[in-house]
Amino acid sequence: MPTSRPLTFSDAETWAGPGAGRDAAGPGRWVTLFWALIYPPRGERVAPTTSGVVLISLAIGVGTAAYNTANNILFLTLALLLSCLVLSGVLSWMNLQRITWRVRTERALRAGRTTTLGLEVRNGKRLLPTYGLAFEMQAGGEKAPRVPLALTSRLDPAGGETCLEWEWRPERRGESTIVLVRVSSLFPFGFLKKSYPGRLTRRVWAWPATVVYERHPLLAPARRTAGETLARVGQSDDLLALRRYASGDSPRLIHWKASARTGEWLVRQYAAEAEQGLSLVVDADALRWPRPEQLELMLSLAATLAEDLFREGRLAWVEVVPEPARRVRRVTDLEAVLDQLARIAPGGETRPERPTGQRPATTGPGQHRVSFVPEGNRGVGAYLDGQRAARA
Amino acid sequence: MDNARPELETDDLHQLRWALGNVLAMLSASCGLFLDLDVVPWVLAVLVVGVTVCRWPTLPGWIPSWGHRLAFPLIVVAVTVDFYGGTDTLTALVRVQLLLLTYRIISYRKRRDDLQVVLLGLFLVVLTGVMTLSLAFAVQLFVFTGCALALLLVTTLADVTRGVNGTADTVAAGAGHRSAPAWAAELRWGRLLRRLRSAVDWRIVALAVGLFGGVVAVTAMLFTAIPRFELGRSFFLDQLITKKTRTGFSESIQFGDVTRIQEDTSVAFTVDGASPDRLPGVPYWRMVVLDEHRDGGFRSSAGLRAELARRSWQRRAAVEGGVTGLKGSRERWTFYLEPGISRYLPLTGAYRELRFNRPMNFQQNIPLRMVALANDPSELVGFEITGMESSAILPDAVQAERTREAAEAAGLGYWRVAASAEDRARLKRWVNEIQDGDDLTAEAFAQRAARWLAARHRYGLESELPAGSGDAVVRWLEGRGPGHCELFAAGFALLARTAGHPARLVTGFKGGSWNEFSGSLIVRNSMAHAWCELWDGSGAWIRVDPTPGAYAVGDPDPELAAAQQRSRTIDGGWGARLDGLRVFWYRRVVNFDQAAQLELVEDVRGGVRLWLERGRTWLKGVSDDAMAWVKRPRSAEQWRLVLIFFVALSLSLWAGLRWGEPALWWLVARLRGRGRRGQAAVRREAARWLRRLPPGRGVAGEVSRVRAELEALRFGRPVERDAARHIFVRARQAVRGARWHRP
Repeated sequence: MPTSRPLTFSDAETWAGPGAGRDAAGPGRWVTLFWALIYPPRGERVAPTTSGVVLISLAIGVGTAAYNTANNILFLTLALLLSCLVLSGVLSWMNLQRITWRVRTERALRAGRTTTLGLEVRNGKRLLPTYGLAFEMQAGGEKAPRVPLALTSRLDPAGGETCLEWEWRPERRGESTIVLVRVSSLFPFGFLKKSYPGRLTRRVWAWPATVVYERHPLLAPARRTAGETLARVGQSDDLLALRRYASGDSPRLIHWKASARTGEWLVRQYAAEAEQGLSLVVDADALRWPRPEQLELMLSLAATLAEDLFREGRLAWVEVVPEPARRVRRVTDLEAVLDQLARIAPGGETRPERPTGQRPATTGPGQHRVSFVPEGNRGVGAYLDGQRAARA
Repeated sequence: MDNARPELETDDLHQLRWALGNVLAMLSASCGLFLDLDVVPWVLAVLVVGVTVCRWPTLPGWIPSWGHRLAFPLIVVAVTVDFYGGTDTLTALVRVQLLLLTYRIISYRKRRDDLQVVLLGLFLVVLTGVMTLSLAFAVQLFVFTGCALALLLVTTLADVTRGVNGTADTVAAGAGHRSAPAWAAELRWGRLLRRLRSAVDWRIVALAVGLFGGVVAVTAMLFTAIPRFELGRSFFLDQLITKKTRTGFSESIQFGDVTRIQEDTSVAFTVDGASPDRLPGVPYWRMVVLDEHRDGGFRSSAGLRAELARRSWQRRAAVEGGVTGLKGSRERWTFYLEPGISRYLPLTGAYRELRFNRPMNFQQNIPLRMVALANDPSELVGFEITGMESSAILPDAVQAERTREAAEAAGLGYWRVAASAEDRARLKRWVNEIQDGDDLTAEAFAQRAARWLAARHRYGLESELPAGSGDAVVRWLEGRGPGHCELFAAGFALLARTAGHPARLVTGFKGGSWNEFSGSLIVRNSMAHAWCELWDGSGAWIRVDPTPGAYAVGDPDPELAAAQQRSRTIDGGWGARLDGLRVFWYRRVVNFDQAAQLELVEDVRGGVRLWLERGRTWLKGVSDDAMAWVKRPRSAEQWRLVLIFFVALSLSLWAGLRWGEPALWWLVARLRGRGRRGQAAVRREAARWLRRLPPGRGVAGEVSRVRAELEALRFGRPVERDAARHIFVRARQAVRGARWHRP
């Protein structure tokens, strides 16, 4: 079922990490730190590496020998080994201090299409650089493989930033999460591997995948209606606006009077000719689409068709039932439609069937409606005013 | 610009790692020079190899792969041969370590190999410390730790970048080296140092030094805080080497041994805790009693050794020393006897109690005032003696009850002169000359004999023995040449025995210098001495020092003793400071035990209690004053002022807690932002980056974003430098990216 939450990407700007928000420097910082030493925060782990195990074994051996012999040199060595471990922990803690990170994604993700994701890392410390952080990313759910990213260069203090990129292909339409599972570091001596929970979950939406479909002549561009124009640049006879001359413009478009008046070359822009637009009706009712894969195919076909029709300038309205129909004039309108398609949940609640031939109140008069119907067990057909116009 | 510091490349990190590993290996190998083991040539070989490889880093590349495969089998064979060839276990063990270090130096190391170098080095350093207990160990350990931590840090950083660039395994192609990595072929120390200097921020270096100081402080805290309870007290390393004493203080000495010791000015032992007023002006530290004259020298007779062995202690920490009762001193002196001096402990006389810092095997003879450890210690020996006497008169009830026949039957050689008849006749002639027909007591004879010797011989480290046959001491007595303390003491002993007075030779140390920095008496090897003890015929041995310049017989009179105390040598200068540091090391580290720990805890507890008491008193005074101030009558106007004051104070405190730190940093930024580094500098820098990052280069979106921010810095509202810094960092990254994306 479609969610009512507006699809925004505001959380893209959210920084997380030890240097973000409540964890950043503040009056209670030292108290927090002291308490964290006694009771480590959930998810923070310190595990010895092979070197660490060797060091700890060595410390145990030296300690045993020290107690066995009462030799103060061995006690001194033991104390030095332990203090090296303490130093390792302190440096590791300092390395992670005031580090923030956030996920950067493209505006539009599409199912089945590879996209580049970025993890921006910023060092908010005043003096100390940060080295050797390892990030473990997971995109697409808990079962998705985890992608390791490594900070291989020095991250300078006072706002030094870097962006670690990796590629990801959303497998399915709809909501996905990109999770920074864990941040770990072997810095400084490789004795201990300190892990810090990423505390960063980014929700992203993937539009339906594009599909190859069979297009019937019925969907060929229709004859234009004389006299109607659209409020966008086109090739009609109606003057829409004037703009500066650009290289390649036809001299016939030059508006001589305005050019003479303003002293610079201006050319005419004409409005686009209107044609009889199409109205896409997407009804994902569970009764009609009991098979999820068929529903996905229908949504993919609808999305692909919507893009193609928009590119041809023939898409006027889109109605995703039960939401009111949306007028599609600009790219942002089309993106909003694709967002709507992305948010449709499979197996949603059923609604009473709309009487045949009844048009939604919001569609314009004389609009041709394209609706989608299951064909067989796997196929989907797009019907223009009751006649099959495309098939996938 | 601060952020313009270059970053070390992967090759730089590998070169640095290589250098640090070699330095670490050479540093730890050099510890072998401090060990009293036969490994010096091996150590020198490691150092030579290390320096050579550092000079020509591609040399290891010439080692064929089968050489690496055969390395460890060869090392195992060499160790087996060495071990079964009669070498000490410990020596063989150290040689193995040195061989392994050498192999690691001449091969290109991976992370685990670096870890092995650290472990091998740590073993050598700790072994050196355990065997020597010297102050140098502390320096070695902390230098080693600093190098090891730096090595591990660089290794970690190199590993992080290696996964991306993979240069560690790249091979220099066509460079004439078989398998040298590219970083080794390109290694130039000068260039590396310059890059290192340009990449390192001095503030980071200062922080690193501070952190290392913190490590030292934490180590000291942990060292004192680790609970001390001993599980076994079985020290194993000292059993792995063959013991030998470096000095001449053994049961058998030849003339010249003590004199040779005098040429060594190093510290023999330190006496801590002694009051300078109670120490004799010229203490005589007895170590070995030599009674048997034989083959031109003196030695401990079998009878004397049997007497000493009669009271043997196994794994015992404390014994009584013959002084009982309420009279006498109860002062506790702590001795730190350096390794290799002797297995005999330096004592001035009888004592109440002797306590070692750990259970020991030793022999003790109270009448002889001798304590001998079971083995020559190869490590520092610490022990405490309570209430030790330092008189020149040594009562001996056992000897008093023993006849000459019984003593000789027991194997004691107090009367025996092992010389030819001719030599005996000469000795008799000189004794008659000394006695001059008088029937002298032992003490009177000692006085005259000492004068007689001083009249015929002068003191000198170079002795002159007349040529000829016969006993060396008799020949020296016959001549007029100079002699050292052994000859004077031996000559006196022979004269006394010829005169019928039992006499014995004693070797040890005489005197000591007071170190004001540590408050302890330092006795050096150059103070080694030999003197005599003469039986007075009535139950005591009298100390007789016939060497010219010393008081001859018995204790000096009080005035002379006081003068000797006043004229005691006082150590000063840097050498004395170093000695003081050494004493501190012995006192607070080497000799730190459970009792000292408890004492420290008590001191801390007492100190805390004292400060708490002071704080409580201060608080009570302050509260009393405050109450008196509150109770003082005031007008309404005064109360209003008081109220305003407290409100302002509370607000200030709250604001300080809330904004104190940011305000401080703002102030610092403001102060730093003045003048050349101020706003104009930010705008100039933004302009520079704008010139370097023209539109249309690099990743289009990122470049345009960075340019927009740079233009805001260049032309927009003033921005603090700290706030602008991260924009400059991004600009640099964008410039770098533009190089990669250049069409």
